[in-house]
Amino acid sequence: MEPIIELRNVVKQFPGVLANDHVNLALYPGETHALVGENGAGKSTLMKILYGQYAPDEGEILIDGISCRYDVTGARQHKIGMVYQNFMQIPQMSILENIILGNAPVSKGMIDYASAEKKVRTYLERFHMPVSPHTLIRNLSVGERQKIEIIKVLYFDARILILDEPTAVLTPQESEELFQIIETLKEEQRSIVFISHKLREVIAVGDRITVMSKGRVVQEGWKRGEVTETEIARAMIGKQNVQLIQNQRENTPGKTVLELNKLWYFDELGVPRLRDLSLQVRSGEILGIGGVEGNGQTELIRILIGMLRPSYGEILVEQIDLTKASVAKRRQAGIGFVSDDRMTEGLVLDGTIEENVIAGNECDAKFSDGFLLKYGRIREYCKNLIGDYDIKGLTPGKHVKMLSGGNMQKIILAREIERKPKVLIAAQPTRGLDIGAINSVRELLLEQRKAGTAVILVSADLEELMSLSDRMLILFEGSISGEVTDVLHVTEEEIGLMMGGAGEHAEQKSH
Amino acid sequence: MDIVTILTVAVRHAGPVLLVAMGGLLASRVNIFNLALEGFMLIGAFSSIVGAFYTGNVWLGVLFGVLASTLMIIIYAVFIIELEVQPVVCAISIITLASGLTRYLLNPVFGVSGRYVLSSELAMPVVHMNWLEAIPVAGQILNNHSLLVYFALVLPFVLAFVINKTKYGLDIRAVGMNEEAAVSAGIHVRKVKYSALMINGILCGLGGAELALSVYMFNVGMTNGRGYTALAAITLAGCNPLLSLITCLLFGFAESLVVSLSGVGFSSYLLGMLPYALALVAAVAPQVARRCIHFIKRKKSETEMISEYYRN
Amino acid sequence: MRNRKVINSVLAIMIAFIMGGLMVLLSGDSPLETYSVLLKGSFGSLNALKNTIRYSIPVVLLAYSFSVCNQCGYFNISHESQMYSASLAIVMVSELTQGWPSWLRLILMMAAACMASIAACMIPAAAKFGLGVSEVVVGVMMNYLMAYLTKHMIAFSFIAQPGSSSIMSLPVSESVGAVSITVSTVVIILLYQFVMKKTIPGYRLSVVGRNPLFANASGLPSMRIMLSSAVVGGLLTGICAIGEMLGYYHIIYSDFAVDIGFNGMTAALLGAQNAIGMLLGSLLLGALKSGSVLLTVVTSVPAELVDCVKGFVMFFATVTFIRSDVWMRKGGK
Repeated sequence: MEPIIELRNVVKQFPGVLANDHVNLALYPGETHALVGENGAGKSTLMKILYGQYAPDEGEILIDGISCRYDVTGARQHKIGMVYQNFMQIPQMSILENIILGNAPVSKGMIDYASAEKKVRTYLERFHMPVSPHTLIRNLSVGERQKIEIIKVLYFDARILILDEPTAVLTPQESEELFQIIETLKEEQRSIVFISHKLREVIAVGDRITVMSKGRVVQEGWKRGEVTETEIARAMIGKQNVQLIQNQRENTPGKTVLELNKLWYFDELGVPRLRDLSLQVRSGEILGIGGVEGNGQTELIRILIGMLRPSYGEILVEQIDLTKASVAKRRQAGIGFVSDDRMTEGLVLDGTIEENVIAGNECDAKFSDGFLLKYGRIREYCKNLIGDYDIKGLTPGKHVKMLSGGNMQKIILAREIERKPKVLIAAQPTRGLDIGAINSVRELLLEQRKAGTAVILVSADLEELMSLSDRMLILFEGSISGEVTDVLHVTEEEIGLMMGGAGEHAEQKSH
Repeated sequence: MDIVTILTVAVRHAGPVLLVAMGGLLASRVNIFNLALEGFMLIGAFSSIVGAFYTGNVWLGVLFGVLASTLMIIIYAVFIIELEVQPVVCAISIITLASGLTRYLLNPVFGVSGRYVLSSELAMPVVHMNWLEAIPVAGQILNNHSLLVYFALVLPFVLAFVINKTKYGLDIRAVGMNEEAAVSAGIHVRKVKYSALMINGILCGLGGAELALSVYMFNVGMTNGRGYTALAAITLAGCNPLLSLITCLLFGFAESLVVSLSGVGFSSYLLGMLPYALALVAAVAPQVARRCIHFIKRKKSETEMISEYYRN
Repeated sequence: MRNRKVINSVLAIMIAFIMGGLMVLLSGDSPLETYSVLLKGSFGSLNALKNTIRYSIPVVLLAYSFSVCNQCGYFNISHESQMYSASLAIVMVSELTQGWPSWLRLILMMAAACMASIAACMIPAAAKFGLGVSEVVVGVMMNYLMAYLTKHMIAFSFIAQPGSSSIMSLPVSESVGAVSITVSTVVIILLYQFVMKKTIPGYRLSVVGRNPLFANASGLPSMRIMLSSAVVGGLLTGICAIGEMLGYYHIIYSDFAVDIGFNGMTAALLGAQNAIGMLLGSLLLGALKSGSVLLTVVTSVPAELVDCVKGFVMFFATVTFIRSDVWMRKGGK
């Protein structure tokens, strides 16, 4: 059989990064081709090339055997469609307008809304969505938005669908529904590129599996059933040792350090984001907080560090009420914070390492006399940190933006840990890091646990939560839908149900 | 001075501002805050007088104004879209440049400085419609304006249609609301932005031409903040074309009041503040109102939901 | 990095002068002659040099005012309104304190000028940081409002000069010498540099400016810092107004601040908001202004040429001729 589309020796370079290094990839009609790799392996770049958003520096793309160069419009004319992970939709527009965007039928100079609506309705029915095409996108749930994203590409009859990490924001049950949709698409002889870093999905969905690492294809076209998860993992990482550090759970937690009582938070539109949330964290304990993203994790973190004020409820650290305290006061009271957005909230990228490590502590007697900064001392301190935390090849005056993701994260952790926090909030601490850096971050968190810090780990990565937490809470629509006390003996399915709000707690708590 | 005259003058004053505002509105809709409306209008006004002077024809003067202002806005577009210059900074340099160029060129072109008056034959002709005389008040107010003023009055309806009903309008809205989504839908964002800015330039040229040719003269700084007023008008109207028509007429009315009341002995300077004070309120008030409404809404749902929850 | 910015500014100035030269050609004069007259008028004699410095001082103060605000993301476009407010405050205090000891009047005038200017600078800042309204729109409206208010005050209020042909205020009798203005400006610049480089407020300002989200999450009082930067910006404009009013004008004329409005911003951009760069940028604008006087006397080229050149300088100073990404691709790999 002829491939419907084929990439040959595609090279794409960005300043300082070789994103795609002579990549080859072939896609056949009616197949699902899974593309796996760690963050930064070059999958997204490759797909953007396929969808015409980037032009390759070298190499060629053959569609039905003919070499083509095209932009996004061209890609859509070749019936190539992209389903984005973060939904390329306009929330203020209706479902209808979002779907016809770029392909609006025109009659007599006007958009023919009537015929478009008819067509869209049939798709909505096919995907069992009982909503009006005039509903605004912003009123839809994440799962519904995903389906709209797929309808968008079917609307122009795409025969090649690129799904970029489509399950990242779905519950396991919603993912299952998506896989069924993929099956029906295959039956219609459409080809699907399925990008993921979740190995189990890849095995389940992919007819063929290609693995990328550091911009290169390291394994092309493994057939379904010929390969195990471990083999894929090894190919992804490129090392034999894929062992991630685990919490040994050897000592028992101490007294309660942080306590949240009946916390509520309403956003500026009056929508409740946190409902009646109570929890305790004890010293020497890692409390994992899981759930599908967007179920209150961000709000919870921001309320904990003081960037948002709760609407109701109280926050206690060692019995001291911090509900109305500012960020600075809370930091003094012993709250440390590793942001999930290290490039903006965690660091000043344009600043030097020195400037970054003293932030929030600049009035400390170590660094200043209250007005003048003691740059000599700061430099000394910074050098020590670089040594202590094994941040390789750095000088204190270096700009942070030149560092690798792992080193950036180490600097943040060093800054926060050196303040000897009583509570350490780590949000997605290993996101986007390579395996070596992930292990150093895990090690640092476990050291903090040992030292008696109460650690809150917020993560979207179930594996990470299950290997590090002493206890887990799952958030659903702003309240706790389930608690896992015995982390060693829980299945992903059970957690999945809690993530979808179907846990026991959820039933008890709503209404 | 009677109210009919004031309203007639208000419509006349609103004309140029409306043209410029509609241009700015299109730019805003593709997410370009065009602070330099003032500069483009000034270029349009000056060039239209130059054009009329050399060709001896009003309409060729208008064409000249439109061409100059469009040329200028293309440069502006290249600067902000291709060279990624901060739009506000670029806008201010355009305003400075427009003011400097028109001041300087007045000398080599006309041999005067400060202002130049054309012969009155080159004034923008007004259109007299007999049938309008039959209608009391409204007929009088709407009669005897220049063609460009009528065009300005119709324009908001045209734009409302284009933005809401056509493919081009959908593209414009998409680009303004979420550029990334527009790119991924295969919309040529660049083309949409350039075209919106070009129309913006044409309209600024028309606005400037109407301003200068209706009084067949140019004086330095004659736009006198009208570009900013137009911005304020669309800000107040939330970039809705029909609401912008109303706000522009409102500003025209304020300006007309200034003209008529200053003759009666009020301080014209204090009255001159009126449009800008309105514009300032227009810029700030929606935000204040939005915050208040959100605050009330939020407090309400907070108390209701929380007490409801703990009652059971 | 620094080299690139220097080359950029030099290129901008060169292109601007070439464009200006074309304009001169267009009007039938010789560009070379025009520019040599400009140069002579600004640096050719001791007197010319004095004038250049005199015109550079307000520009440099405004450039620093623009720069300190811009560091915190506040685009301080309302210098004009701040100058008007400060000048009105000076003349009003002067009228209200007739007969008081001279030193006390001076102090009161300066304090009033600074306070008025700070207030005018804070309004757009508050709109931006408090309400999220574009400070640019508010600032521009403020400029027009204050221009009209000033005209009203010098035409109809107790500070209006009766019986003059054009509207102007009553004169202020106190004055400050050129030497003390120059010395104070130098001291202020040095102090500013010291605070920005060596102290906690300077550190905080630079962190908040570069990344407000990070500052928030690290517990820096960002709102307070942002508003303080606006206070400093207003203060610098106030000082500029004090120098102009008490040093040279003594009387408020209609539209006297229009000319100066965007100069600070131009100099700041031209100098890439770097200490020495802004000084040089201000010197260029000061030189253009002092040179334009001789231009009208000696040649037939209208002095408005200088406005054009200024416009072109500003226009091209906004462009990054040498793009950093291109640079990185060549140098990085």
